[in-house]
Amino acid sequence: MTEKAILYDSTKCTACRGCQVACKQWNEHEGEETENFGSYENPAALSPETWVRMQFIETDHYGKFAWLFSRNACMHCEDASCAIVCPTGSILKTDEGFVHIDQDWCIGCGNCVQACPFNVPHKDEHIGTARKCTGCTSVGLNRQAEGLDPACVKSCPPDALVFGDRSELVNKGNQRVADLKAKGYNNAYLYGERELGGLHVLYVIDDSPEVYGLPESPQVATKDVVGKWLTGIATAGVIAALPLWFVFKRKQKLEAQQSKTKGGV
Amino acid sequence: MSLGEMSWNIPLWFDIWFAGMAGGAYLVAFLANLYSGGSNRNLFRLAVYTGVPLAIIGVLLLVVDLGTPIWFWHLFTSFLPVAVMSMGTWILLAFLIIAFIMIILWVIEGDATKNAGKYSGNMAGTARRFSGFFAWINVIFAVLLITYPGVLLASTSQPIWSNTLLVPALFVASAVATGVALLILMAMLTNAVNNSSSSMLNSIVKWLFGSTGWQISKETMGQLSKSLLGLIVVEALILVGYVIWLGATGASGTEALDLLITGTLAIPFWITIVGVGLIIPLALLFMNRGKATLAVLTSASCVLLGGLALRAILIVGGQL
Repeated sequence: MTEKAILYDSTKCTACRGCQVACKQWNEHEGEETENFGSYENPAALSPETWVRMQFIETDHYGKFAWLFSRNACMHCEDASCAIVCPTGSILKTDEGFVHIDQDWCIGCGNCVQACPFNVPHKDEHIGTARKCTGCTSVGLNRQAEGLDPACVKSCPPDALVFGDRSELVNKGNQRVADLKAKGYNNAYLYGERELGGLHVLYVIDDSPEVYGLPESPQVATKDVVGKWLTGIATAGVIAALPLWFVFKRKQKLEAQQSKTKGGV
Repeated sequence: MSLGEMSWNIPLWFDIWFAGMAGGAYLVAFLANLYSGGSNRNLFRLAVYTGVPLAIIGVLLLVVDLGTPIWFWHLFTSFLPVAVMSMGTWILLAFLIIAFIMIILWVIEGDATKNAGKYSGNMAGTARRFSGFFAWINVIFAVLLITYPGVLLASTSQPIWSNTLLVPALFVASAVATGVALLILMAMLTNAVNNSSSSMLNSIVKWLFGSTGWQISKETMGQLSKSLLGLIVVEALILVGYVIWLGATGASGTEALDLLITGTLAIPFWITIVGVGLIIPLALLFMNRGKATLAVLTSASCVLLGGLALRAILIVGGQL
């Protein structure tokens, strides 16, 4: 099966938030009551009922003040930390590379919430399970299986979102990055080509990932897990060998030596 | 983020605190018995009798904290070595099963000693040998049990937990210290029961420990106090190392460290983890050399509270 991906071109995005609405509509999610926090960005964060949202970034951009847009949703990582740490194996990947949570098997332990480097999954306190974007592969609502684009992509008026074969989208993204560089955007970058084994949501950005609120070099949560186990076990070993040996064994040895000496005398 | 919105919440603080105490007490009592040539067998039994209920309560708390507690059994349908929570589940199960087997063997041993004619052959000796074998096996699970919570936190994307390798070390040192503190308090309680006039309490303790020699000796109590002193020093050194290392891990580490030592969590960090958990017991134990009962009792209580505070503050810190 060919790997699929979504290509998001932030330089084409108008932040109309049609994708947010389409996602809510397709997945039958309720609107949420939110409060103005001084930005057009709304809602302020992802939630179990909000799987995609637009971010508004006010920042210095090549020496000028700029208002940039970015997308905040599941990145569908190849090396998905959420899936790796899930203790029940409830987080699965489709053949096309999209990561989804089996709502009939998730126990709501919250481990995926803590493991995701993009803070995407959220625990639904009412249902009890963790929830996030499925790339429109949810059971009964699977657009990809029907040969349809994900709802967010379908709704995007300026074609800032494109769905297709990942290899083709990587080429397309790199071409766009080259165009941006030619126009003087020297930090332009295709985010997701290599990060975490390759993301299934690729971002064309005209500045560094940091400017767009993306982690520069995201790591798999279980990186160094063997080292972490060994550090803990070694600490137990040191404690067993030093303070406890010193207190319990050394005293016994000293007593044995003393009684030997007495016996000799 | 408020406490209610955090996906890892108050039950987890208590779960890993209880599991740490259970595993820590087991490890210490096992080694104390081993190093002293088998003369601390009652201390070891005390560790198991106290640790098993604590670990069970911890498991129940963890189940309650799940979004769908009724589906907790899904955890036992897969064995995923890289998924730390999966490993933790199996480690806890193995620890509890083996501890139960040991308790059954001790009861058989006690009964066979009292009623030698009831059993054929040397049943008491056989039960004792088998319980000794299982004790060795379970010390591996005890070490893994006290290591697992730190590895669980460290295998995430929250800088305060994952930027260094020292969170597992810190949790292990704290687990062993709280294990010793628990043993001290339980030994004081057991000795008090032994000296009490209540025949019911006396018969319960005698059933658990056998009819003779179940009191925890003064010498052992002194050794436990000394061990606690040493363990507090080890924990303090690891905490200093953790703070230095975290601060050296770039912007995310500095932000996490600020939260802990100068920011929102600074007051509880300095008062409970450092003050109550380390400095007060260290000063009391050092000044009294573990001789004054009240000082030892206070120190052990402080270490237990400090252990809970360490877990609570770090768990909250990773989710702010």
